[in-house]
Amino acid sequence: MQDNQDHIDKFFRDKLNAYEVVPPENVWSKISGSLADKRRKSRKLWIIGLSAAASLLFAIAAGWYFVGSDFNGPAFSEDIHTGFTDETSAIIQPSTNKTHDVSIVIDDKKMNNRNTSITPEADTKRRAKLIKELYPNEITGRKEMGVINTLISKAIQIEQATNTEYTLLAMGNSFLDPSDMEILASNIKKRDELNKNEKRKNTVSVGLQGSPEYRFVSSDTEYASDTYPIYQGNIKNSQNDFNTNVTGGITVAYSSGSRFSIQSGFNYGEISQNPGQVGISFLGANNIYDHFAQDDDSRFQGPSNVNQDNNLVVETQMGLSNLQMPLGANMVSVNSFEKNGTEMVRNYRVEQKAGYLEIPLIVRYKLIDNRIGLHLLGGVNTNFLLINEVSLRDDYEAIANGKIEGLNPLTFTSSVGLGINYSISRHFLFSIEPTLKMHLNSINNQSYINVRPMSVGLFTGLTYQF
Amino acid sequence: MENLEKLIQGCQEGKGKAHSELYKRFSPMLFGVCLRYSSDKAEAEDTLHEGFITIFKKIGQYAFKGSFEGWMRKVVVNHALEKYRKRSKMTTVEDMKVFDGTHSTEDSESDLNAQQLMELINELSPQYKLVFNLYAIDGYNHKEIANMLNISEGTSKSNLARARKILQEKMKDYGFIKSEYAR
Repeated sequence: MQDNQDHIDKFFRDKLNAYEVVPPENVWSKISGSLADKRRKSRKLWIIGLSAAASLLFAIAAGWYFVGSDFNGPAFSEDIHTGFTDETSAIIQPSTNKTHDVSIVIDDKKMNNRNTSITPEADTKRRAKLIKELYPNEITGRKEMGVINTLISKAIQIEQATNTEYTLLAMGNSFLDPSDMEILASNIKKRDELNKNEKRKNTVSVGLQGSPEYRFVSSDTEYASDTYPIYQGNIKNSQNDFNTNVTGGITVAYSSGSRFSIQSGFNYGEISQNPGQVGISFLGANNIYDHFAQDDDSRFQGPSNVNQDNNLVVETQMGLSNLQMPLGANMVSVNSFEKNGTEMVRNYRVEQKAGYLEIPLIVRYKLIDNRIGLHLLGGVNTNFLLINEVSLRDDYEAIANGKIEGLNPLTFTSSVGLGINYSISRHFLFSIEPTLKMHLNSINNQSYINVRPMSVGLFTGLTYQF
Repeated sequence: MENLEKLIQGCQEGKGKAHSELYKRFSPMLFGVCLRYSSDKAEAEDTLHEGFITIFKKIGQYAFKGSFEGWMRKVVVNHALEKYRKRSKMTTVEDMKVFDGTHSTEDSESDLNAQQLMELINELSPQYKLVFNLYAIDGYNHKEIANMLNISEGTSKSNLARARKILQEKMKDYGFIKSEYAR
């Protein structure tokens, strides 16, 4: 039986001991792949080992140098430089986004004013977490531990002082190697992008703005005197006749986070003119000619559509005005009191003003979205006529009052401009916007008048962003 | 032999060419060993892969004393047993199917017999198969087997006896048996 059993063993052994089967191709691929990985890992370990040794040597040399040169305190405390600025780098900012995996250097001078003292040994758990945040994929021994400890202590200091949890970001110092500087540069960029994106989310802002507006008319303007020459008086049909007035108001703007924003609000502005002077005599007769004279004595009969009563028709850039004169007042040439030598003849000036409430609807597009930014603006404004006054007055009194006939209660203007803005802080924005406005419809609805003034202004504004 | 020494040295120095040459030379034999111990072809391939990784990793420890082939076989067998230990904690593994690997010998009759013998062994229950492989083919003694499989020597002996009996009966059934085995 024993022989039999041994024979079975031998039988199987003889057949199977030298049994060979060529394995499939993929087995060698897997083996060679594993071997290649091991070679890469061992090379990396070599480099890490050499770096650690070099760092240690350098730290010893640096320590020796600083001790030798009367340097007080830790070797790398406030003297850490970013390489990007010359200021001390403080590395801490409140935790807002936990998806940041690495590290940005920011410079915050405020940090230097904090003087809370703690023991470095305190809160080792937090220390370990901060190291992990600093170097999520690296071996911590690679950096000078002195630097890390100093900066972590600083972070803990400030956390304790402010009772706020901070994310320790990367540090900058002149001992970083080029690849770290690259990481820092790219992270500063990431941080700026993130801040920009946070800024860009749905924002509402309110503000104040104002501007002097220099107003003029285009050459295709049609005045009443073009159709009715009777009204040609002292109106000089030049573009300089409008007064330059200040427009100002409140702005409300909304941005969804893209480069576009939309703004409304309300402004108040006036279109006014001082068409000229007239001489008035109170000595006079009952007949008052519809006449408007300045430097000459010419008088004429008014047209049939002009009221023959004691009134004065004045033409301004905005239309005609019918001024009711006081009884007995007689129009004479300007400065004729000098001729007549009496106080009852005086010079009066015509003053005209129209006041509008403007509701803008402006779209802005950011061309450059930085602390100092550049944007384009364009839109339409709806203007509601609030004030329409013409008066004949001097410095002491108005002797006649009226209004411009046919002024449009509702006019529309378009705005187009360029703006420069400056972010004073996270919430405040200052802007200067040279803007051109054009009337889209005539300011006077009389068929024989077509006046569409244009204006240029330098709108200065201050907005607060929520 | 001299060629083998140079090859081993090359592997000890981590030369890729030496690694691939060594694999080419010994993988068919070692794969045969894996196939004997494994429950299926995929497991055999895994065992071979892990075995060679260990061989290349520890080849520096080989001091050119004793059989290099024997050393490699031991490494591979250890990996196979490791898999068995893991496997035995789980549910029963399917019987090994007929493998379709390429055969390196040219003698068709012996190949055929070898294949069929493999099938017979694979029909054994895992523990019997292991003990039979370790004792009858790879030359381990019961003490060593007891240590490797974490069983007693007595269990090892009884498993071996049982394995032999089953194989004998199967060989009779398949008509392999010669008169001297029939007794």
